[in-house]
Amino acid sequence: MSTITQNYQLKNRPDYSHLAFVGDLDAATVEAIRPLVQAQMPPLCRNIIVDLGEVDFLDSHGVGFFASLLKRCHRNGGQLYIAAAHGQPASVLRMVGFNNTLVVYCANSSEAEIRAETAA
Amino acid sequence: MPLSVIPPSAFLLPGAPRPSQTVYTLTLPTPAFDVIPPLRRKIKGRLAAWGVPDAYADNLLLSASEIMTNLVKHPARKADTVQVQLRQEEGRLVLDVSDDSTPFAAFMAKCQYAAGDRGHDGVPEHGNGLRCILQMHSEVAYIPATESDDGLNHFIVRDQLKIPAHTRHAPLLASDSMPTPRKLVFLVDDNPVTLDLHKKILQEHYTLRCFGCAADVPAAFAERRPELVISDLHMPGLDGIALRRQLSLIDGGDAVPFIFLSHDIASAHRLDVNRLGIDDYLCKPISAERLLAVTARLMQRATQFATAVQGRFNKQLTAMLHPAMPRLHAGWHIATRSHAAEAGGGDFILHHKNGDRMLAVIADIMGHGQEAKFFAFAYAGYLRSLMQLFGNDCLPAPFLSHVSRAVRDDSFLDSTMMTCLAFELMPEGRACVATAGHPPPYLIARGGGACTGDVVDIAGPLPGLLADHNYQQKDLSLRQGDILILATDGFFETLDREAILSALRQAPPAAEAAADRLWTSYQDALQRSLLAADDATLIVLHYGDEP
Repeated sequence: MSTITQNYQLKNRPDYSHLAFVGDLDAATVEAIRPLVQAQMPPLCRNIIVDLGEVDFLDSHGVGFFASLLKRCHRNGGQLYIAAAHGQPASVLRMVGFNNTLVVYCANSSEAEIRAETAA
Repeated sequence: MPLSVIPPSAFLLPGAPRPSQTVYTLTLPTPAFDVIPPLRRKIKGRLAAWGVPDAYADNLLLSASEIMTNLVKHPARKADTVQVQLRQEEGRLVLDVSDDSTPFAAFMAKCQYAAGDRGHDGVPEHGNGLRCILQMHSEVAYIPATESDDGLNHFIVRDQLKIPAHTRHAPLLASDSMPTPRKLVFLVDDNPVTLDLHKKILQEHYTLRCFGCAADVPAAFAERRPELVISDLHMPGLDGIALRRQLSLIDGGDAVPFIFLSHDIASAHRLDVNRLGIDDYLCKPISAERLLAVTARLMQRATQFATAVQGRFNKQLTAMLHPAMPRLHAGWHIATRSHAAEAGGGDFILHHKNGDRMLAVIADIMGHGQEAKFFAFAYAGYLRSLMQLFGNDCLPAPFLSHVSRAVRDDSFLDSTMMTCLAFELMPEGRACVATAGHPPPYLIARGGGACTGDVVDIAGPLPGLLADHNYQQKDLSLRQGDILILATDGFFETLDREAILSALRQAPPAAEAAADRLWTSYQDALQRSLLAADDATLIVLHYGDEP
């Protein structure tokens, strides 16, 4: 389990939560980290930055997890920011319809942080 | 999104005729989450070896992952076995995942749902896997066990993408798709005018790095090795001779050709050229033609030298991996044939005798070229030591379990893929086989002038794929004249059952004669298919008396 928890890093800032993943984001990883992230994230968190810069593989469970985070942001009047998506993960997000009317894509994590702070 | 589910009858199912087919099969026990990432790695390796473009390989990896995840999460009764098969059918690539779990109910309805539902915020939390599969592939089918010929559920995806024939058996080489990179030359001269002049002469043909100060060269040299250094002799600070000495101290620095360019030809002549390892010295001013000619000559010489060294290394490895089996053991006549692809290859055979029993392994390292050959050499050493340790009292299946644990525990070996088949030959025509991702053998009966037989029903996962997997083995009992054929997938991909039987019908009842016929048929089939010759190894085991 310890290796699974090393697959993400969560930083809760005043205006947003920054969630960075590493490696493969598939069913096994999501099943393990979803409850941990939900518990560690403030319930009224408005903006979430999902950093995919270090993610090599994303499957539908990863997408489903993002959808649940998106709902959470919208419910709290905020936004989901996807940073540094590239390669296969970027293709999957496009395929399932995560387009910029639902989320905000940012080239990198720092851009997403500026946008999240500004929006807050 | 168009719904692209097609009727099952449009697919060539296992058992149906399959023209020009190449098959790669992975057999897994009850699916679990921890099996899926290594499965993805194995499939990725095979797709890369087949030269499948990355974007298309990504789609197949995602589909395989989604289908396997469904099998972990959803069936009421879990599968005992799952088989993941990649097939090339007339150049098209098919992913076929078969299992014996409770069939996936109401597949069409779920497809309609996945195709239509957009969820609360446009992307639903569930159903995205099927949505992705439907969107990525031009043809998708699900055949429940109740409707399939083999009593298994089949989830099949197939695309119209046609894989070029030349890549079906061989990886795309860098030289197939990329222009040859220009060679790098370092120019060193404290005189900016001379430096600029030589740069103008050479820049059309080479990538250049120019240095006005020799002291800057060693760090750049260590960072990226050039193919040639052209240096002035007399320079303030670090002069040409000191520079040459410094570069020689860097690992491999001696091997890079070095030219001195100097006005002071008398000093140059006094240099101990051999001791300094200098390839030439030229007098300034030099004509453009002469500088280009000398540069080209030295480049060519260096390339010839590197090729010769590589060739010798390759030849030595090939000789060490050449299959060697005794020709006779406990009433078994044994013949082997092998072909190593031009640039290398990864097949090998090992055996260990213990009285009238003999344990042997035929193995195939995935991949091609020098790298596959290197890994074959490493694997062969590893397996040989395992045979020394366990060979005396170990049957094929436990031996493969040892191999699998060793591979899983060793990050170096786990970085490539190997299939292998272990077999034991005993007196009175008894044999025993177990496979780890390797094509099963064919057992051919030749009694009474007939020639019939089929593939032996045995399967097992790749070594290292599953933790603590216990392999199964099959006991065989051959009668006088029967033949057991073992080969790497390069061979069985080319010759199917009918072709094997046809070849053997024309062969006298002897191992060498049968091997000759099979090998000739294999080479003829390769030539007809216009496919590149892959590595292939064949073992023919004939039990009984020979004329």
